[in-house]
Amino acid sequence: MLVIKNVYKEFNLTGNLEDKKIALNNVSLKIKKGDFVTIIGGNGSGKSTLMNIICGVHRPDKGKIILDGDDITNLKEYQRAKYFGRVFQDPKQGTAADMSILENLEIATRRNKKITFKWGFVKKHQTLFVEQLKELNLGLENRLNQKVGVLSGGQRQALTLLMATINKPKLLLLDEHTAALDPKTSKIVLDLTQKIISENNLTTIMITHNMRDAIKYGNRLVMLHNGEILLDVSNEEKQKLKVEDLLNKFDQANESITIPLI
Amino acid sequence: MDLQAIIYVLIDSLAIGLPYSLLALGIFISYRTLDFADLSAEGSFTLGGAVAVSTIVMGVNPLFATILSFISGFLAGMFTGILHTKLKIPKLLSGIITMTGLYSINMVIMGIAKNSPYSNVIYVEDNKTIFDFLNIFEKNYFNIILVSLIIVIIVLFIIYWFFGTEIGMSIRATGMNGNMARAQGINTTVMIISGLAISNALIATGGALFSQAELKADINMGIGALVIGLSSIIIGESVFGKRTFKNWIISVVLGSIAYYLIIAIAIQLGFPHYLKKLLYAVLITIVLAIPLIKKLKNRTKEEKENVSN
Repeated sequence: MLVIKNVYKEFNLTGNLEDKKIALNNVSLKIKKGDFVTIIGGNGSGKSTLMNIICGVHRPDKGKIILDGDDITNLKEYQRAKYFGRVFQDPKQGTAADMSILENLEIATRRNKKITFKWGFVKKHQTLFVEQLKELNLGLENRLNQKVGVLSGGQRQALTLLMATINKPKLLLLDEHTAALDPKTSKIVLDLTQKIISENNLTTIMITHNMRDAIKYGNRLVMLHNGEILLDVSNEEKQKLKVEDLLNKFDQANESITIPLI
Repeated sequence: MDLQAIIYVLIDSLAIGLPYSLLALGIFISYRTLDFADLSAEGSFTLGGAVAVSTIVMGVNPLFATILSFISGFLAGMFTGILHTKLKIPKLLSGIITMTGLYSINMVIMGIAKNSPYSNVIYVEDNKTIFDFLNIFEKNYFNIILVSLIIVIIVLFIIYWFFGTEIGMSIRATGMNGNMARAQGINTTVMIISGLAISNALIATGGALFSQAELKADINMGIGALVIGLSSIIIGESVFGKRTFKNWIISVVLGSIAYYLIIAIAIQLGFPHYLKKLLYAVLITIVLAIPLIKKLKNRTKEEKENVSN
């Protein structure tokens, strides 16, 4: 379904060769239809860069992104949006604050369509939206005309999740989407995520830096470190995984880098 | 002030405020929906006036001349949009570049009708203006108010419709949150360019109406346009509200009239003409501070309530 092929990306912000930072070092990853992959890694491991390269915010220096056999490496961010549903780390990023819940949802339903001068509000959609908002169980179904800006972070994230999945994307991309929420809200949003994914059988990539969540959710776990894949386990093997195993792996990787320096 | 003076002030602020409300609506689109403080407004307001008066002098029907102004503003806005999106020039600078370039272009346009390479001012003279279409009233300023009002109402309907369409909604989303817009498959580049084009088209139309009301276009008529437009928007929002989009755009028009009412009263009370621009500056400072003052007021109110509780 999604094939990431030898993707290499470096950042060199100052133009000075010594400041070169390799964000992704020839990363290859094949994601099967129906997979729910959690990606874990520390700061600077390349997990955000990987996500940004998949959805087109960055272009890889080398390598290809192939979706269902089509090379999408050169498609712009907005051109790929029809395939992806995205939820960002910052709850403010996924929605337009000064527009109503209704308007935000109307925009989301048109993600895979060509927009025209047709009137943007469709009566038929409204009943559908109310139904789906009810599923979120946050009382948003009665607040269709309220501006999104007045919602809490958790509510906004849940709404973004609904917007991302409303027309069943080929791939759902979750970029640390609960990192900015308090533990309780985080759990509500994660459970909601799980529910929506399994109900719609969505192929998903979820970035997280919470090891427990990475183990608990999904059928496959990928660990990134310094721009390379350190661990890639699925199904039974993943189920046996414990937080300590991940920590050990992480320490080993750190040692192998720090020892030569001493 | 006696009654006659009050009526005079009211009529005057309507006759200026209504044509200027198109400027305010244009700036509303760039500043409020696209979050783009677009200085090309200063150039495109004059551009609208220059195109309208020059073509009228050359014998073009005033309605058609006004439409030509609309188109010229549309192109100016597109240019600013392309500078910002394609050449990645910062917003403020893109507007300044267009404004600076338009200064010379406007002089050349005003020169054309006079068969001269350039001109700083051009008069309508004996030619008919758009306000002569409905020659109902004897006094010209009543005709100005009537025709402007009709145009403003039509424009309000079109803006309301347009920003409710799929494309209009996408322009608003682009201005509010570019990341969200792109993630929802919206081509933000096209939206910014077309939003600025529509904004400047309205501003130029405002310039066309204003210059026909004043019976002349001159090179300096656009100076302060952005400040005037912004003040009108903020006065409108704080006095008449912005609960819904419909309410919001009507507030902008009313704000523009209110703005000129304030200026006209100040002048009527003996405020010297040469200090007018200073008055504009002071007024917008006060107006921009209104939200902060409101917040402080609310806070002290809450504190008092907390104490009494």
